[in-house]
Amino acid sequence: MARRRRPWEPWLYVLPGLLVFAIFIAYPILANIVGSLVGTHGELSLANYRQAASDAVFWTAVRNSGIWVVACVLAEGAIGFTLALAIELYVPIGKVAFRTLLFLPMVVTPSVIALVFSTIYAPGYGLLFGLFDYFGLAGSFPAILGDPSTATLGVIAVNVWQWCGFFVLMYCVGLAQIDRELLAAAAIDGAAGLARVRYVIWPLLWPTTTSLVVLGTIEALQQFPLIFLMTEGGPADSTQTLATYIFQTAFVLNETHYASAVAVVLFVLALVLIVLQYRLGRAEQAAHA
Amino acid sequence: MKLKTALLSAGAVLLLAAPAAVPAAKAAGPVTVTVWSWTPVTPTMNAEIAAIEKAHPNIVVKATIQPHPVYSVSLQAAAGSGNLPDIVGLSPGAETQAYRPHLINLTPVAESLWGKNWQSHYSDALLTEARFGNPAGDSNFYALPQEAQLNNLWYNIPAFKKAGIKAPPRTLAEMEADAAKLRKAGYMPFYQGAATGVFDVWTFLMIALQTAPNAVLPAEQGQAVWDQPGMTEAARVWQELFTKQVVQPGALSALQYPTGANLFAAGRVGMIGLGSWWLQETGLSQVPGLKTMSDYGTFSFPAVKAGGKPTPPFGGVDFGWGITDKAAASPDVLAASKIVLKEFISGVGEQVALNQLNDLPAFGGMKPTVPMSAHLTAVYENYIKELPLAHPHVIGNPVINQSLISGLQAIGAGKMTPEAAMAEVQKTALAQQKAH
Repeated sequence: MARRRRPWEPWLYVLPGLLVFAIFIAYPILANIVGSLVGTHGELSLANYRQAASDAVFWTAVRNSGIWVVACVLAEGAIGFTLALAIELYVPIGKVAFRTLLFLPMVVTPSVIALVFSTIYAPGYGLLFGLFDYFGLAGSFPAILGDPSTATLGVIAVNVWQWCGFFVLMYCVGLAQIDRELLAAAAIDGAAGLARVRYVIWPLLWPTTTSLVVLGTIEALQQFPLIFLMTEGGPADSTQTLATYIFQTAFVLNETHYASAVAVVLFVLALVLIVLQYRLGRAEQAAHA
Repeated sequence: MKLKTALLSAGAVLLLAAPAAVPAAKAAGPVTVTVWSWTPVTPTMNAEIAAIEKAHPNIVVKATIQPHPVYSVSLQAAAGSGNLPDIVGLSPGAETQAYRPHLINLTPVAESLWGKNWQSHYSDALLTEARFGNPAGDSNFYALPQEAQLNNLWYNIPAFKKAGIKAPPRTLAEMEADAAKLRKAGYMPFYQGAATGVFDVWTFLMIALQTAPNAVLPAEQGQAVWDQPGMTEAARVWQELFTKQVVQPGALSALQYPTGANLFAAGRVGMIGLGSWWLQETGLSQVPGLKTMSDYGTFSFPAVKAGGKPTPPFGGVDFGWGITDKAAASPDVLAASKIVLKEFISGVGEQVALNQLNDLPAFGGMKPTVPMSAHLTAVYENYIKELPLAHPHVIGNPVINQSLISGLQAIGAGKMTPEAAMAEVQKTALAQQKAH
């Protein structure tokens, strides 16, 4: 017996999900966009966006957010891929132990990590300074977080240290899914060493890479606690990213509408980057197919 | 049909679950007062609450203490959604002003609690700071101070002895010479946690009180006076602290809290800018030299010019309390909130905090009742003596404050000259004047 068609039925099923999406995602985004269009005296205008265009700190934050995305995704991807290859293909025993150890930083709270690395970097008494001092180089020890030209990279390095384990784990999962017979066949065909990695493993891991690039991008754009706890966006705003600048403008300077405008920029930037990455990923995957 | 039945049923459930639209009944049991703040620390706040609840069994105080960055976010979200607590902890200036629309005027409340002459219990500096940023013509109080602070420099007496220094420096030249001796003896000379902006501002203002004494208060109140010669001179002295290695290497990456305070407590630092609140370490430490403060002494920022005077007393409101319009919506809660406010400021609550040497009492006449060593008593009494003379220590406009922090850090990093940095702050101040 044919079931009677009820056109509203599918909508009923998706309604709870739609409601959650509308209330917790769509509404805040829309409210934020509207908020970004409210001027100093409550009028609707583009004043906040004009302010951003002429705000040097905003552009520093945009530049730094870009540096964060590129540096984190590249470094975490490269280190994660290399370590995963080493663990999965060349470590005969204790793979789980290696994966667990490398993943450990992911479960440590950022406040602890920030405190530990601030001390490691500290001139005069930190661990790195101790090493420099041991080799008689104390006089040339760089104040990594105290120098505007190195501070951002100093915090990025900590983030890379924390996130590498996640990349390793994901690549290990991807590698474990590759059919060993395929690798054996490639070896018989002469694909060994780097050639095997370049022409067999790398293309097969492309879906994993695409996902990691997207996740890494989102994580890098959203990064707040490490920067806030290690440098507070300084010295002289040199480590501000869009995420820290939103916090500063909203909760320190009480310029909530301006903060909304900066948040919209971050939203658009993230959206564009992720769409771009997906498209490039699909094109690359199609080329490998 | 089934859908209609389901929707009707759901509607009925929602109606039943909705709060009844009847006037609130008069409270029969204890009245609950909610309090949010970032300070004092939770153990002190809990002890204050226990004392208040013991004195007023009909009042229950529910306090939430969060670190300041988290507190700022919570407060703003609660204000936006109409969910503020009954009493909020506030620092003077920008923070109080940001929540002023949600706060009741405490002037008549203070009159009812302490009488018509209630202002005589506070020093002028505290009264001035408590109203920082009020709109022109608005002389109301929206937050009343519980505790006050004096900012000054502390020195480590054993470190000074080991470095061959007899007394804390009285001039900048002496400070530079002492810094060299301390470095040679293996100490960090003058610890400046320059990554913590508020301490940069405090050090700068201490210097500016010598080089531009008449410009500091107007600058704090938002006037565009940052390009005055005395201000630029203060920025130049700030620069010298870095170029002449008075501050420790890598100061711009250093935090005053927890790193600086911990290093100072551990005896690794010769001098540091802290304040009266540091006395609370006596209750937190078991190290004899710290427990009695016998290893530590205070001094003012030295005279920047030969023949000049050190910085005069500098400080003001540590934190205060405001009562929200949410509390005012219920007569019972408002009445209880007033009692809690009084106990926090001049009653059993403040006595508990004072006995832990949490900071200095904002309300005159109160003092700790716990035994203190002679050295500690001398330090404490000196603070109490100087408090009424303190020059305000807060820059009321947060945008100008942030611009100054950026400028000072840029000077320290050698990325800006003092002149350029002060010109930038001046530009910000002018823009703020125009915007408001």
